[in-house]
Amino acid sequence: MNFAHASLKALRAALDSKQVSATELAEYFLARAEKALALNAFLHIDRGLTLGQAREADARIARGETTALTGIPVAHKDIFVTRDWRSTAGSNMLADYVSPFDATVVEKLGATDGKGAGMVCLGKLNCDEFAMGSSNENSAFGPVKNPWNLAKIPGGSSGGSAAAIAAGLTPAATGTDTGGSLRQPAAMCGVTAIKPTYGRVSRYGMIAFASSLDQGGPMAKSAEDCALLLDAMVGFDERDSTSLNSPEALTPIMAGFLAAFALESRADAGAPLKGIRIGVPKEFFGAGLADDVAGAVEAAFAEFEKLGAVRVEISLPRTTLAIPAYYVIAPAEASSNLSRFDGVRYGHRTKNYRDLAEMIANSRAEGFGAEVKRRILTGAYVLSHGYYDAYYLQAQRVRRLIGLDFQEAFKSCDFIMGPVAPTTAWDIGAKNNDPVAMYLEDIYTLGVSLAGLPGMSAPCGFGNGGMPIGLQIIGNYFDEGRMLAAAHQYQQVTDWHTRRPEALR
Amino acid sequence: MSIASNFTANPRFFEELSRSVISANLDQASQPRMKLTSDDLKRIAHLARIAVTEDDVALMQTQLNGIFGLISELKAVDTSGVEPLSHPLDIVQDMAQRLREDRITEADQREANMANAPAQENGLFLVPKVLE
Repeated sequence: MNFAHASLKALRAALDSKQVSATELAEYFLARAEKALALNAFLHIDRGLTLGQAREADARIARGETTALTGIPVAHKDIFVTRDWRSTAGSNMLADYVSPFDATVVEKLGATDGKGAGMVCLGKLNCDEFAMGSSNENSAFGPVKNPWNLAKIPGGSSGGSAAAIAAGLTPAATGTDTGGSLRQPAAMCGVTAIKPTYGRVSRYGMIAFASSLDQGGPMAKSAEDCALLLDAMVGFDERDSTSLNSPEALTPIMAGFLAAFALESRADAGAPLKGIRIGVPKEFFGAGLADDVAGAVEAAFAEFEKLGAVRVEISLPRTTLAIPAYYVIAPAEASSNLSRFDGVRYGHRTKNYRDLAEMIANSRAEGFGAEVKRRILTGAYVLSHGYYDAYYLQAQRVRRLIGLDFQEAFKSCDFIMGPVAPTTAWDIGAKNNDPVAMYLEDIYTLGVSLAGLPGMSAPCGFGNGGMPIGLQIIGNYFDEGRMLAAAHQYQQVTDWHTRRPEALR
Repeated sequence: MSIASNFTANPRFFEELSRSVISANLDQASQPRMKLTSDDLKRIAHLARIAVTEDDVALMQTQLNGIFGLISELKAVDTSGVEPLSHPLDIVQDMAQRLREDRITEADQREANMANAPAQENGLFLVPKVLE
């Protein structure tokens, strides 16, 4: 059995049948990660810590106290704080930071107290600094490389997560999505990821970027794997003031996944998606969409039609407005969230200062990278006197209009589908000095984030130069189980999600 | 016929989009597009407590003016009668802020919390002298 690219179910079966132990699996993936250092996907690996967790997982398996995920390795985006591994947010500001606590997501997936799912942590994954970026080039610790072509970006900001899954360095990873940071790197590396409804996954211990947008989610090789992972990540958390505790928010993901389209009974095996309406927003197929991406997404629609779905043309008229609205709201929240980094309680402190004011200003100047500074300054400006109404409140009004557009669209369809990004992964360095060009790449993902809707990316083909392309599936609030089930049906009749870079098979 | 085939990919789309954003704003005589001066930039940097050098100012000024060109597109949108949205799920349900009881819930882990301090003495954070 090739563990590197096995499904979580296959790993579960291998662990349960004693074909492999959690310790052996951890050793296996650590060895792969150590051989793939050139990808720069991991920021911190500690064999001893990982093997300690693996032994606990093996003991749990021996006692018969297993969940679907016990003993399976996972790696966390370095936005989630961990008590044992360093937590850097990809920033020099937090280069040596060790958290006094574990993020809720880390706790829920982990093994240490015997309560969580019992996954074994392999370490921390590289990302854009404070999750700000679409290419992973904003990491203070160097860019992650795309396993399909080392000269290309892996996407961002969860680029380390996507690269590690594609290269088979871990079977599962966490990521965060503020404006597309799970979906876009998943698309560019040929893996599957989902950003759930805002409020379903606790933000406690997720280093904050833009609190009204940030959502954690899983990344893996298939929709089914993502369903298993998301099921273990969601839930009410009193430590997050925006965590949801309504009945619909508390419905288990797997319940929705298995109930949709008679997944268990396969009553209508020929056309499992019969009658499902797929909304195709015309604004997602305008100028700017690369031909190779458009072609692959079209081919995916045809597959969904073969599965019984029908295609409905819809409109999301404010698609382009999502860009300016997002790039007001996210920087505004970032400038507020990142004000905590003052060089006093934690984080980088400059050696060069005469007084307290200078110490704070120099610590921040040295600790933050260029993109983080741009966003803090943009945010400070749009929140400042005289601009607050014209920019910040106006952006929040546009945000409501964008959310209402989605609700209007969902009156005529079950899911909305389209591309994740206008192009496949670009060359490292190509857009480095042009922030606006980089922001415009987020056109198809930002609206979903502003509306707080669940959105996922599933591989749907390869474009020019053999680079992966992702299909975006957008569902209405709390419809994650059904979205993942629809993607699972698609993955039963296509094999794009099983393709791996030749050198890393 | 597929939607995608109605359009040809235009690599200059984004350039055109940003240009249209900029020209739309130049057309609005009553609300000229904000154009950041180097003094503005220094003022915001001070507000944000980020030290900047003269070299930083020139580059940041250009880049932020690019970003402001992009976000100025919002000004042209008619949002009269629309309430600002701060919690996304407010679209479909009333999202009252959840409040908790006012009691101490944090465990005392002073040592762990102090462990990341750049400078400390007797369990206190050390900062440069503020008052003479």
